[in-house]
Amino acid sequence: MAQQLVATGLNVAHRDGTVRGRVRYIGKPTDVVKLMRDPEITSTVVLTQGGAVTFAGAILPKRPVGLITLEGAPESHLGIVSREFSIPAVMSVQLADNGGIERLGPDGLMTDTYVKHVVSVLDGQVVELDCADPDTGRVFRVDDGS
Amino acid sequence: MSASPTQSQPAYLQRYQADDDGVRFMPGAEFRYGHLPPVPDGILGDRILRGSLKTDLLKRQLTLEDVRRPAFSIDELNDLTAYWSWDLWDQLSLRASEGSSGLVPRQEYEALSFANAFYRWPEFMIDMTDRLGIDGIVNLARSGREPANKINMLHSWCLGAVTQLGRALYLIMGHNTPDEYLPELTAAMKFWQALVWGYRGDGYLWSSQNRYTTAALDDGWTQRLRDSMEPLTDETGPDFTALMASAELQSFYLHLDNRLGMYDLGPFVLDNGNPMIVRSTFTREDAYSWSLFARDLPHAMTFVFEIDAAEMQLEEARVLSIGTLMTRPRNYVSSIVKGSVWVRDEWDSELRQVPLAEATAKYLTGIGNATGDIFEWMTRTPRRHLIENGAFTYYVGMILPFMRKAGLYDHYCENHNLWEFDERASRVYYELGRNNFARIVVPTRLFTSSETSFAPISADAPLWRSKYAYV
Repeated sequence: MAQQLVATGLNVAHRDGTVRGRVRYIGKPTDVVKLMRDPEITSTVVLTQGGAVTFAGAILPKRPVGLITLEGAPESHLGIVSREFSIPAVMSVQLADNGGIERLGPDGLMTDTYVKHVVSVLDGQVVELDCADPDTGRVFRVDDGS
Repeated sequence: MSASPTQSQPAYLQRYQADDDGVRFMPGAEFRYGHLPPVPDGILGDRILRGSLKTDLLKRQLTLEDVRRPAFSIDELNDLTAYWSWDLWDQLSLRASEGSSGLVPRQEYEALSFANAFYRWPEFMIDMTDRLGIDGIVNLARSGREPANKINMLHSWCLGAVTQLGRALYLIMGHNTPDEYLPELTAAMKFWQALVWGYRGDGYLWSSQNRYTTAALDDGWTQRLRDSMEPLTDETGPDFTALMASAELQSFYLHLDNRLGMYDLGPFVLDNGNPMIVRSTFTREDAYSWSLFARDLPHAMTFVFEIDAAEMQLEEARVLSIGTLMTRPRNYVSSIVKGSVWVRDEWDSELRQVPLAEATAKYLTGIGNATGDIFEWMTRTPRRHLIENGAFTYYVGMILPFMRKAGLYDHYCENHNLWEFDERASRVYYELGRNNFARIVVPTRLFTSSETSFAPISADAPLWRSKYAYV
């Protein structure tokens, strides 16, 4: 199966090997509740925007296969708790090809346009998270033929 | 710390040698403040900063006589403010990038709590000092030198930090000037100093002054916890980390996404050179109405664990003043080799060890349910209520343990409107959303710090001067 590097970010915790799953974006609380009740959660890589814990954290005990965030750092609360649950996490990801869209607006905040672009690139894709490097996590898109 | 490294011992022990500069957790980053030289993070940053300060207040281990002095000089207050500014940068600037709050508007409630605490805490601090005396405040802090007690370094640190952050907030907003509210600032800094000095027991005011170590347990406890740990196997290891992670998550939810529900003590260097960490999580807090979702959980759970330092090639283990363990490399969880679980049912009941299997069977499901319930409660709670409740977890939650232990909590609730916002602070609520004040100004101007927000007091400012006119 072909692989393509689609994004890199901050690696929360070093671990050998990779994990694979289908990306699912959670943008609102109802998405969180729905995912928590979905038996496929254990084969899901959760994609969320922020690094605060109260939004996406409730999902972690259900053991998703991985976590990708657009903001935050390993020292963010979500980073800390995902490490404690031993869930591979790549935070503050940047796309290999951002389509010419600026990540931050003039006010320094992440733009909705960029969030939508990342979601359009990653949501629904099968990816592998490579967290072997101490600092950098890599997200590979896997062509699973589906 | 008495252990010294040999060739066969893990690298992190080198950090405890007097001439060691530590590891940079933020390579290339430098803190800049007024006349001070650029200061990096970590052990080296602490050394450079303290060496550059005007007075000897932070250059030596303080004595009880230092703590008993009723006031600081202006130079000492300015040295404290400079150190606070670096400390906040050193501990929190990485976290400040976490961006969108998602469910709980944390940046908004943090700013509101800073605003309220700055005006309201001094009254309580002065009153408690009048009632207990400064030695009584020291002894109050000493009573927390055990696991699973909210009288700890984290809560003590918060009282000083949030006072400084409140002062900075009003300076940024232009409400106050650097030379105003000086008696209140002095009272808060003296109260914080007495607490930290009494709790730490090493003469320092920040863990960074002591190579990021907070070993604030009485000897009996250290030995007891050391002896309590059992080897974790391929079967029991995942159970231990799952229970600990679940309790941590619950503590974050219960405290509305802040760190007041969890604190680490250590590193305690064991005879084999490995570090022991004592992690306490607070899973129920009866002062909060939403804690009803956790009514069947214990007040606190403590997880004691040993990290195989050689296996993870541990270079540095920091226990920050906010009670958070940070390591390089980051992933210590997979190197936990021994552990034990302790439970405190009520804030004032005895701490007892519970076998891992029993603790997992008894608490894991309940913790998950409570976390889920609080999450759903949050989704149904209006934004303003989340901001106010969050502000209370800071403003009340930080000072609550000291009031409660002193038997004054009910008194302050009934007679001093503890659970209220000062009118001046309340008005800040409406400024939080304007021009992204809370989302941009708070993280960038406060948590990255500077001499503009953490402004020094003028050399000729009268220390008796509060603020007498709002014009």
